[in-house]
Amino acid sequence: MTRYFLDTTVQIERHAGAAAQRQAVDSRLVGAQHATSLQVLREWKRIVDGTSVDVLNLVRDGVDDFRELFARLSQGWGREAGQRLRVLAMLAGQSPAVEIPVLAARAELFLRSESIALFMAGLDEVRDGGQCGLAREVPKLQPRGRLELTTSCKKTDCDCVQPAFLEDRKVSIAATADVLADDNSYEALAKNIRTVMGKPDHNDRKGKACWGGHGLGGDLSIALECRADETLLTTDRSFEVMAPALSLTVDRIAPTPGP
Amino acid sequence: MTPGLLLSKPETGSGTPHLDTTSDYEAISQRIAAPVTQMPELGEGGNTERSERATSSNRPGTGGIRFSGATKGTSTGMAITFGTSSRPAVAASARPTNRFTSALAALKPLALEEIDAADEIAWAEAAQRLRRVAVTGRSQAPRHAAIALVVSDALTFTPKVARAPASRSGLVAALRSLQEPFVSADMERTVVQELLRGGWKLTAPFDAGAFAEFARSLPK
Repeated sequence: MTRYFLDTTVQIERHAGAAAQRQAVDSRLVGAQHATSLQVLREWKRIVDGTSVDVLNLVRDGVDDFRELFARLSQGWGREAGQRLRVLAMLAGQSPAVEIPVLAARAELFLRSESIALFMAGLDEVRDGGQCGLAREVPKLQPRGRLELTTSCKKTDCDCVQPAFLEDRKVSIAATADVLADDNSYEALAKNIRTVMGKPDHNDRKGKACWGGHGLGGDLSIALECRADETLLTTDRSFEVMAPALSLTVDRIAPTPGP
Repeated sequence: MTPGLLLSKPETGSGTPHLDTTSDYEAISQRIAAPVTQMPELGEGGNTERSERATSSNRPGTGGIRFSGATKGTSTGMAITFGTSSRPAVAASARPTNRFTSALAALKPLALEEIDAADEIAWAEAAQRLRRVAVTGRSQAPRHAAIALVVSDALTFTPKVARAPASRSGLVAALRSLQEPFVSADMERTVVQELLRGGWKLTAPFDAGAFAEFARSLPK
């Protein structure tokens, strides 16, 4: 029985993906327990809990029409906007005709219990090599009644051991940067990794350099915690590129096509 | 930044540090549950926890459906009966509603496997009644409403072929919780976890077609 290590894209797919993608993930996970990491939880929270918070804040602000909610939350472009749309669709029960009270009730339920339960379903291990503080964040009520979820941190105030975690694996990381640099799509990522790892102050590996779009890249932090006896399950090609440097076995499924 | 109190520190030295799970998961869940229970009811400014406690004497479950411990067996050894008593001295607006009673009545035979998994009408009817309870009961008993909603979702989103093999323990847990005067965060979490463990789907597959059409219908 294959033991899988789930990345964020697959966590999204198995609960908010199209039927074919859910089936592809479920058929692999059935009959065994699997693993993931707190870095994946950090990204899951930003996407799933973050969208739930946005929904509740908009409803609180008086938005009572799904068309307006959809228009506001689907702004932006790229993978993250697509993932937020998928989460909104999930909260809406895949029906644009959803009643706003149902949508809001589901968002509240997600924040209280369903989001983490979905994330943990079928898993028996969540690795925490970097002791990420962002993954531990929960929505907080602000004085005016709005909810706020912290999804970013500064290197001067984040509470983690990510610099030491990366230092222990610097040889693997350098090898990963080399293989990424050989692929046209990931040259910029390789450059960012080398820049961040080359800084003399190891605290420069924290904060935005960790979670931001122009730093080490979340995929690298995730891949570093996949064990040799596991198969990393993803929709993201970057893991296939990293695989030789990290001795990873990768199983990549096709992502849900956009609407 | 929230201090890192939840998870055990990783092992030092070589190898991938990891944590194991149950206690950490509980801790994460509790941390998630705590602040959100302070969330005001939308549009009402009340405190969810306070609101729920305040209505504990007029919770929907007091209208006469109760566990008796009697004869009708389930896999958990539990039995469910229906009674007729209702509480006096409860404000009319807060009385247990027919809607709630009707939703429980629809859920009970499904939980106890008295209705076949292929009976589409019964499943759809129960899902619809529970959803209605989730909407109407949300302000007075938010966790009762949340459980009604998650069960409604499970009944709606689990494919017909997956219903028969799915464990009914989550439905039984939901039925039991819905009849309690106060639904704790633990009870809500247990229902969600039991449903997922039992093989129920709490979310529907992404319907790209519906949302593409919807997006096209929006004004530019």
